[in-house]
Amino acid sequence: MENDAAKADVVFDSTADVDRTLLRENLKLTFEQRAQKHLRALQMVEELRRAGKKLRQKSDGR
Amino acid sequence: MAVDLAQIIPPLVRSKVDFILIGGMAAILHGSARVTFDVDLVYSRTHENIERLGAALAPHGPYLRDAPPNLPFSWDAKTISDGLNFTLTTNLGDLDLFGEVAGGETYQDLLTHSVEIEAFGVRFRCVDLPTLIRIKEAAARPKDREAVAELRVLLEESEKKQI
Repeated sequence: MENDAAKADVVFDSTADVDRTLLRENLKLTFEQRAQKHLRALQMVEELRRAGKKLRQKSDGR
Repeated sequence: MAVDLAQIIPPLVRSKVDFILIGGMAAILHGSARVTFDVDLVYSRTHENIERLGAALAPHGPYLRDAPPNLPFSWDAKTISDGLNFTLTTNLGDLDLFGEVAGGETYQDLLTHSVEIEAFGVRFRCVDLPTLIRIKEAAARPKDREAVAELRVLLEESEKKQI
Protein backbone atom coordinates (compact mmCIF):
# COMPACT_ATOMS: atom_id res chain seq x y z
CA MET A 1 0.00 0.00 0.00
CA GLU A 2 2.80 2.38 0.97
CA ASN A 3 4.66 1.49 -2.24
CA ASP A 4 1.57 2.23 -4.33
CA ALA A 5 1.28 5.63 -2.72
CA ALA A 6 4.95 6.34 -3.38
CA LYS A 7 4.61 5.20 -7.02
CA ALA A 8 1.55 7.44 -7.51
CA ASP A 9 3.52 10.40 -6.15
CA VAL A 10 6.35 9.74 -8.62
CA VAL A 11 3.92 9.55 -11.55
CA PHE A 12 2.20 12.74 -10.39
CA ASP A 13 5.49 14.63 -10.13
CA SER A 14 6.68 13.35 -13.52
CA THR A 15 3.55 14.41 -15.39
CA ALA A 16 3.90 17.89 -13.91
CA ASP A 17 7.28 18.17 -15.67
CA VAL A 18 5.99 17.19 -19.12
CA ASP A 19 5.98 19.99 -21.70
CA ARG A 20 2.34 19.98 -22.81
CA THR A 21 2.87 22.59 -25.54
CA LEU A 22 4.98 20.15 -27.60
CA LEU A 23 2.37 17.44 -27.23
CA ARG A 24 -0.52 19.72 -28.16
CA GLU A 25 1.35 20.70 -31.33
CA ASN A 26 1.96 17.03 -32.16
CA LEU A 27 -1.72 16.18 -31.65
CA LYS A 28 -2.59 18.66 -34.41
CA LEU A 29 -0.50 16.64 -36.91
CA THR A 30 -1.51 13.60 -38.95
CA PHE A 31 0.10 10.22 -38.16
CA GLU A 32 2.43 10.61 -41.14
CA GLN A 33 3.44 14.12 -40.13
CA ARG A 34 4.23 12.86 -36.60
CA ALA A 35 6.42 10.09 -38.06
CA GLN A 36 8.18 12.54 -40.41
CA LYS A 37 8.81 15.01 -37.59
CA HIS A 38 10.30 12.20 -35.49
CA LEU A 39 12.49 11.06 -38.39
CA ARG A 40 13.91 14.57 -38.78
CA ALA A 41 14.66 14.70 -35.03
CA LEU A 42 16.27 11.26 -35.19
CA GLN A 43 18.45 12.27 -38.16
CA MET A 44 19.60 15.33 -36.23
CA VAL A 45 20.48 13.20 -33.18
CA GLU A 46 22.46 10.81 -35.37
CA GLU A 47 24.29 13.70 -37.06
CA LEU A 48 25.23 15.08 -33.63
CA ARG A 49 26.44 11.62 -32.57
CA ARG A 50 28.62 11.38 -35.70
CA ALA A 51 30.04 14.86 -35.06
CA GLY A 52 30.75 13.93 -31.42
CA LYS A 53 32.51 10.74 -32.48
CA LYS A 54 34.69 12.63 -35.00
CA LEU A 55 35.57 15.18 -32.34
CA ARG A 56 36.58 12.46 -29.86
CA GLN A 57 38.70 10.71 -32.51
CA LYS A 58 40.38 14.03 -33.36
CA SER A 59 41.13 14.81 -29.72
CA ASP A 60 42.48 11.24 -29.25
CA GLY A 61 44.84 11.89 -32.18
CA ARG A 62 43.34 9.08 -34.31
CA MET B 1 20.95 4.42 -39.33
CA ALA B 2 17.78 6.43 -38.67
CA VAL B 3 14.88 4.01 -38.66
CA ASP B 4 12.01 5.13 -40.86
CA LEU B 5 8.52 3.72 -40.24
CA ALA B 6 7.60 4.57 -43.82
CA GLN B 7 10.25 2.06 -44.98
CA ILE B 8 9.51 -0.75 -42.51
CA ILE B 9 5.71 -0.87 -42.24
CA PRO B 10 4.55 -1.02 -45.90
CA PRO B 11 6.56 -4.15 -46.90
CA LEU B 12 5.14 -6.01 -43.88
CA VAL B 13 1.57 -4.97 -44.66
CA ARG B 14 1.94 -5.85 -48.33
CA SER B 15 3.24 -9.29 -47.32
CA LYS B 16 0.12 -9.69 -45.14
CA VAL B 17 2.10 -10.04 -41.91
CA ASP B 18 -0.16 -9.78 -38.84
CA PHE B 19 1.50 -7.37 -36.40
CA ILE B 20 0.77 -4.54 -33.98
CA LEU B 21 3.08 -1.56 -33.58
CA ILE B 22 4.06 -1.02 -29.94
CA GLY B 23 6.87 0.79 -28.08
CA GLY B 24 8.39 4.17 -28.82
CA MET B 25 7.18 4.38 -32.42
CA ALA B 26 3.61 3.68 -31.30
CA ALA B 27 4.12 6.52 -28.81
CA ILE B 28 5.29 8.79 -31.66
CA LEU B 29 2.12 8.07 -33.64
CA HIS B 30 0.08 8.87 -30.52
CA GLY B 31 1.86 12.25 -30.34
CA SER B 32 4.97 11.68 -28.22
CA ALA B 33 7.78 14.23 -28.57
CA ARG B 34 10.51 11.76 -27.54
CA VAL B 35 13.08 10.25 -29.89
CA THR B 36 13.24 6.49 -30.32
CA PHE B 37 15.80 4.49 -32.25
CA ASP B 38 14.03 1.27 -33.18
CA VAL B 39 10.68 -0.17 -34.21
CA ASP B 40 8.90 -2.60 -31.86
CA LEU B 41 6.28 -4.98 -33.22
CA VAL B 42 4.22 -7.76 -31.67
CA TYR B 43 3.64 -10.44 -34.30
CA SER B 44 1.14 -13.27 -34.51
CA ARG B 45 2.71 -16.67 -33.75
CA THR B 46 0.55 -18.65 -36.18
CA HIS B 47 2.50 -20.90 -38.54
CA GLU B 48 1.27 -19.00 -41.61
CA ASN B 49 2.19 -15.61 -40.15
CA ILE B 50 5.65 -16.79 -39.13
CA GLU B 51 6.20 -17.93 -42.74
CA ARG B 52 5.07 -14.52 -44.04
CA LEU B 53 7.20 -12.62 -41.50
CA GLY B 54 10.26 -14.66 -42.41
CA ALA B 55 9.79 -14.07 -46.14
CA ALA B 56 8.95 -10.36 -45.78
CA LEU B 57 12.07 -9.49 -43.79
CA ALA B 58 14.56 -11.85 -45.43
CA PRO B 59 15.45 -9.41 -48.29
CA HIS B 60 16.37 -6.78 -45.69
CA GLY B 61 19.23 -8.72 -44.10
CA PRO B 62 17.96 -9.28 -40.55
CA TYR B 63 20.72 -10.13 -38.09
CA LEU B 64 20.94 -10.27 -34.31
CA ARG B 65 21.71 -6.78 -33.02
CA ASP B 66 24.99 -6.39 -31.12
CA ALA B 67 25.93 -10.02 -31.88
CA PRO B 68 29.40 -10.83 -33.24
CA PRO B 69 29.45 -11.01 -37.05
CA ASN B 70 29.41 -14.34 -38.88
CA LEU B 71 27.29 -16.26 -36.37
CA PRO B 72 25.38 -19.13 -38.00
CA PHE B 73 22.14 -17.14 -37.94
CA SER B 74 19.62 -17.55 -40.69
CA TRP B 75 16.37 -15.63 -40.76
CA ASP B 76 13.66 -18.09 -41.66
CA ALA B 77 10.41 -19.59 -40.34
CA LYS B 78 12.28 -22.23 -38.31
CA THR B 79 14.38 -19.62 -36.51
CA ILE B 80 11.27 -17.56 -35.73
CA SER B 81 9.35 -20.66 -34.57
CA ASP B 82 12.22 -21.78 -32.34
CA GLY B 83 12.55 -18.32 -30.78
CA LEU B 84 10.04 -15.79 -29.48
CA ASN B 85 11.43 -12.27 -29.17
CA PHE B 86 14.11 -10.98 -31.56
CA THR B 87 16.29 -7.89 -31.37
CA LEU B 88 17.34 -7.34 -34.96
CA THR B 89 19.31 -5.01 -37.14
CA THR B 90 18.12 -4.78 -40.76
CA ASN B 91 18.98 -2.61 -43.74
CA LEU B 92 15.74 -0.72 -42.96
CA GLY B 93 16.86 0.04 -39.40
CA ASP B 94 16.69 -1.63 -36.00
CA LEU B 95 13.64 -3.80 -35.42
CA ASP B 96 12.46 -5.61 -32.28
CA LEU B 97 9.96 -8.40 -32.81
CA PHE B 98 7.94 -9.71 -29.88
CA GLY B 99 5.98 -12.94 -29.68
CA GLU B 100 5.05 -11.76 -26.19
CA VAL B 101 5.39 -8.42 -24.43
CA ALA B 102 6.14 -7.74 -20.75
CA GLY B 103 3.26 -9.25 -18.80
CA GLY B 104 3.00 -12.16 -21.24
CA GLU B 105 0.49 -10.62 -23.64
CA THR B 106 0.49 -11.83 -27.23
CA TYR B 107 -0.68 -10.45 -30.58
CA GLN B 108 -4.10 -12.03 -30.01
CA ASP B 109 -4.38 -10.47 -26.54
CA LEU B 110 -3.45 -7.02 -27.84
CA LEU B 111 -5.63 -7.10 -30.94
CA THR B 112 -8.69 -5.74 -29.11
CA HIS B 113 -6.48 -3.07 -27.53
CA SER B 114 -5.20 -1.72 -30.84
CA VAL B 115 -6.40 0.87 -33.33
CA GLU B 116 -6.18 0.88 -37.11
CA ILE B 117 -3.91 3.55 -38.54
CA GLU B 118 -3.77 4.70 -42.12
CA ALA B 119 -0.37 6.06 -43.08
CA PHE B 120 2.48 5.48 -45.55
CA GLY B 121 -0.07 4.27 -48.14
CA VAL B 122 -1.18 1.28 -46.02
CA ARG B 123 -3.37 0.40 -43.04
CA PHE B 124 -1.89 -1.28 -39.99
CA ARG B 125 -2.60 -1.74 -36.30
CA CYS B 126 -1.04 0.24 -33.46
CA VAL B 127 -1.54 -0.46 -29.77
CA ASP B 128 -3.93 2.01 -28.13
CA LEU B 129 -2.62 4.60 -25.70
CA PRO B 130 -3.94 3.09 -22.40
CA THR B 131 -2.46 -0.30 -23.34
CA LEU B 132 0.85 1.23 -24.38
CA ILE B 133 1.05 2.83 -20.93
CA ARG B 134 0.21 -0.52 -19.29
CA ILE B 135 2.90 -2.37 -21.32
CA LYS B 136 5.55 0.22 -20.47
CA GLU B 137 4.60 0.07 -16.80
CA ALA B 138 4.79 -3.74 -16.85
CA ALA B 139 8.28 -3.56 -18.39
CA ALA B 140 9.26 -1.40 -15.37
CA ARG B 141 12.46 -0.15 -16.98
CA PRO B 142 13.88 3.03 -15.43
CA LYS B 143 14.13 4.62 -18.90
CA ASP B 144 10.36 4.21 -19.34
CA ARG B 145 9.43 6.27 -16.29
CA GLU B 146 9.54 9.62 -18.10
CA ALA B 147 7.99 8.08 -21.21
CA VAL B 148 5.03 6.82 -19.15
CA ALA B 149 4.55 10.27 -17.63
CA GLU B 150 4.46 11.79 -21.12
CA LEU B 151 2.00 9.12 -22.34
CA ARG B 152 -0.30 9.86 -19.39
CA VAL B 153 -0.31 13.54 -20.35
CA LEU B 154 -0.98 12.59 -23.99
CA LEU B 155 -3.93 10.50 -22.84
CA GLU B 156 -5.32 13.47 -20.88
CA GLU B 157 -4.79 15.85 -23.81
CA SER B 158 -6.34 13.40 -26.32
CA GLU B 159 -9.38 12.96 -24.10
CA LYS B 160 -9.74 16.75 -23.75
CA LYS B 161 -9.54 17.07 -27.54
CA GLN B 162 -12.37 14.57 -27.98
CA ILE B 163 -14.70 16.36 -25.55
